[in-house]
Amino acid sequence: MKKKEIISCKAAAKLMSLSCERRLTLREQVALKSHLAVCETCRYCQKQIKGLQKILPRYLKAVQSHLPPPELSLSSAAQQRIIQNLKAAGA
Amino acid sequence: MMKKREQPQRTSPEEWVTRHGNYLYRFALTRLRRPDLAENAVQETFLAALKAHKTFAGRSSERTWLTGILKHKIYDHFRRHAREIDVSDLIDEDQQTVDSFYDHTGRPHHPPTEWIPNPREVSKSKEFWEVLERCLKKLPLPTAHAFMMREIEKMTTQQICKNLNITATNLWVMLHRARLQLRACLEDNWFTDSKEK
Repeated sequence: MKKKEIISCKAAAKLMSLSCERRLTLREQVALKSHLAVCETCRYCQKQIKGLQKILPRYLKAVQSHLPPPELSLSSAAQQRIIQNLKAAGA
Repeated sequence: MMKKREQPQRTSPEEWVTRHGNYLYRFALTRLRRPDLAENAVQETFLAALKAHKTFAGRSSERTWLTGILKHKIYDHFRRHAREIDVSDLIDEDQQTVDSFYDHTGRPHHPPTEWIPNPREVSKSKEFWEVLERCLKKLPLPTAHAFMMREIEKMTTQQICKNLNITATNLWVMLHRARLQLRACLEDNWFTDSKEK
């Protein structure tokens, strides 16, 4: 292996994503770090991926409180259908 | 003497549906996207809950218990669906999308710009969640489902692989595509615009 060969942004992004799934090997860590050391936009990318990981768990709560209710609500017709079917099933 | 823990009461279907119907429906809709499928999943959840009501020990809230059942109904749906689709096609598409973000030397066509999402700030913004919702909908359904199990439900790789009956390598391709696309979509539709607000 050639010494100090910097990996591409594409390969770096793949490692960023992989690091969310498993521990990177030593070689992978070195490859990613050397790339980030010389690539500003990939440093942004890394921070953004990590930031989104913190935000996403709040999504379910947001779905219940923030999203427009009409299109996300069970219509009264649907409610009646379900109630009827539940009763038919012996509730 | 009053007992500290209330015995679970037998709830009527009407009460269940009025109390939890909307909540469960919204949850189902984020995963299944189609109103008819979401309605069906909610109904199946209530039916299963009805049969299993005796096993509900009151350890968790009724809503948490119902949501747990709903999740399994959704997993079942995707498992059935997975048998009908060709996983390798799906992975190919995800990989092609990843490739499309870069030129042949591996440089991004649109290098990420400088923004850092602030969880506390964005989570208060209704508009942010609407943009996120739209961005998630641009992902293929199985990819979005895998991504939500991973990043929203925080399930482990093994759990998700077992659930979708795919290999870890395939799952990583799906998740990587989802991350890159979501990042780019939020950059285009939220973080770039909001700077000028």
